[in-house]
Amino acid sequence: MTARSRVVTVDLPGIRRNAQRYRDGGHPLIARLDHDACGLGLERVGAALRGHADWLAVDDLRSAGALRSAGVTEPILALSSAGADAAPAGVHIAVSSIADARAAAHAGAAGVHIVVDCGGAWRGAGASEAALLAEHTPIAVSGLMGVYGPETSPEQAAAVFGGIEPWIQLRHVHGTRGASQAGPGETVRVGRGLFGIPGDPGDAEQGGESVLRLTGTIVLVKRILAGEGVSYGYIHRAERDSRIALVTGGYADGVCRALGSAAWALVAGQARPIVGRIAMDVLVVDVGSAPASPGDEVVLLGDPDRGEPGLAEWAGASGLSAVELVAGIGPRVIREYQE
Amino acid sequence: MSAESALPAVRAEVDLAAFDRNLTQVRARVEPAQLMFVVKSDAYTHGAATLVPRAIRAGVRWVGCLELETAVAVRAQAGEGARLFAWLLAPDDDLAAGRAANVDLGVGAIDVLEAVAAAPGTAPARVHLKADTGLNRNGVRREEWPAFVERAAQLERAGRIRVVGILSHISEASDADDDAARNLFDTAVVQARAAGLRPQLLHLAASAAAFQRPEFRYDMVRIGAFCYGIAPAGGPHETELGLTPVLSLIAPVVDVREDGSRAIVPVGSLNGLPSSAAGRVTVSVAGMPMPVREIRRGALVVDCSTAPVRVGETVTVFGSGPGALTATAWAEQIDTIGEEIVLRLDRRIPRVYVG
Repeated sequence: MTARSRVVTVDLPGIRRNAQRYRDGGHPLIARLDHDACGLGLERVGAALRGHADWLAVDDLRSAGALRSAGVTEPILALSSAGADAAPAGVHIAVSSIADARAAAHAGAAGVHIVVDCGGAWRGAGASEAALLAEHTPIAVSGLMGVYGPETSPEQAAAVFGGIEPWIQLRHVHGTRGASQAGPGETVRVGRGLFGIPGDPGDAEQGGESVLRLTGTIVLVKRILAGEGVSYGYIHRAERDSRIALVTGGYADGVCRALGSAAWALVAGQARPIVGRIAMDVLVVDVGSAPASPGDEVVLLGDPDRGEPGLAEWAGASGLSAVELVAGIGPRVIREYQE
Repeated sequence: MSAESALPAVRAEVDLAAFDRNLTQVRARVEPAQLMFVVKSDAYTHGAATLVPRAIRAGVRWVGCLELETAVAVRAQAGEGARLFAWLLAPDDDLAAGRAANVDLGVGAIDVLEAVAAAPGTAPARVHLKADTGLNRNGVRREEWPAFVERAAQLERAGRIRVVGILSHISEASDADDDAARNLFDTAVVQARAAGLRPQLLHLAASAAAFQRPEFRYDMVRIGAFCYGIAPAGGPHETELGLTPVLSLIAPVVDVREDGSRAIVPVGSLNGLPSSAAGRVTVSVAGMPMPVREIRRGALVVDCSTAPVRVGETVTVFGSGPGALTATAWAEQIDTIGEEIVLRLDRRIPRVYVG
């Protein structure tokens, strides 16, 4: 198969529109681009956000350097000081302890954002530790970053956060889930909301417009007779004579196995079921009478508003979260960008 | 609380000694059939650039590459003597490059057969014809097979191709389904011979059938999972098969929270660990199995209330070693297979070779 047989297309103007929604609401924006911008490509997404975000947050100093090399001039918040010995210019580091703050000072960071646990987070200092840290840090405190776990509501987190070190001016506690509860002018720190990735069912904020589209390519089309099985374990048997297409895209590409016989694809504009087990590299679609030939593109994941299969459906069928499904799109899948 | 940068890094350790032992075990088990070592998806994310030369030095002759682009890249790793096999081909692939790299081509559709024969190349293209024996994926259906092999024989007589093998792929739905597939395969071979073809290499089985069912081995078996020490979900364990997981995901404890009852390990669902496994799996902390309570985006939250844990201790998330679950054991908890757990693992986590 040609290299372009599996593609994820990233709509960069769509990401900018999603970013603009927060700024239009009066919220300065920290764009979270950790985990390689959720696998969509740190450098390209970061460069596309020049002038459209107030800050960019990344995993570590190596990622911060990559953004600077990509021409990003906005201030950067590195979520850890790992990855490089020295911080590029204008890079601040998130710290949870005096040891972290010393490492940040040693790396020559422009400042630190003190991370505080506002309820059920896996990182961050407690309120009293944060106060000690603010007092004893060997480097300028440039921000306060609140974090909270999935069991903590945005309101609970905000209540804790509000009482901590009120003199620190740049304060951010809410991510995509809590952004709608942010007060006037309050900075938000948004990741999946930039990428149109829905949250759990019931979350107030559902993630903005869809910006990614995953396609596979038809390898071959052939007939199948009623009663015949498809793929490993024959979990699907054809109910009637039909046509099937073998399509590139398997669990190595992030089309998880749990989607076998539980999801659908868009073939020549028609919604057609994925049948049988998803293999490592390929899947099978019952294309029925839809026009389908080798080389044709098949949409596996895209914008539900355009009649394409959506992330919420994949999440429901797989038991995984939408954000991990996006991050799980595999390395063989070519990233292409709509400018 | 700690400075993460001072701790050992998150890494995927690839144990080359275990890989060597697995290869030895697999080859002994399937003899006299040959082993085709399958390296698609960068050797199941273990790193083909390291494992392919290692396997060749151990005497492996055949390498399964899935796609032509992979095969062309693997040629540089494997050297000229190795036989490389690609079997997911499209008519618009760069088949001339495949022929130039001396790749054996698995052909399962008439349009691909014609494109292979028409691709520029001086020596005849080496072709393995793929029959569909019930899996309904790649391969030619039984009612179209006689015409397909007739055409292949014509192209062989014309000097454009040489049919060196016939293959298929079984469902492992049940022994009876696999027996039915094998009967269809034998019929396909008889029909190919009747058309005048003289295939020397018949291959049908992958890991599981190659081990359990000798009559499925024919001349060659295509094995990925077992070479990497990945056992079948719901089947015999690695130890029963004489295999060791090659890849282990290792990470440090970076924090201990909630009065010492929760250890934080900085690898999470955005690194490929399925969040649906939370509450169902354990990880090994300094050799002790401990339950994973939550799988957050960037971290595991591990219940260490039964034994004290210190920041900096080493955690085996999955793989081999005392107290660690294998990838297959993780997979069984969420109704999938070990390959998916390994293949989802974040490629940005460095592969570190040991042993």
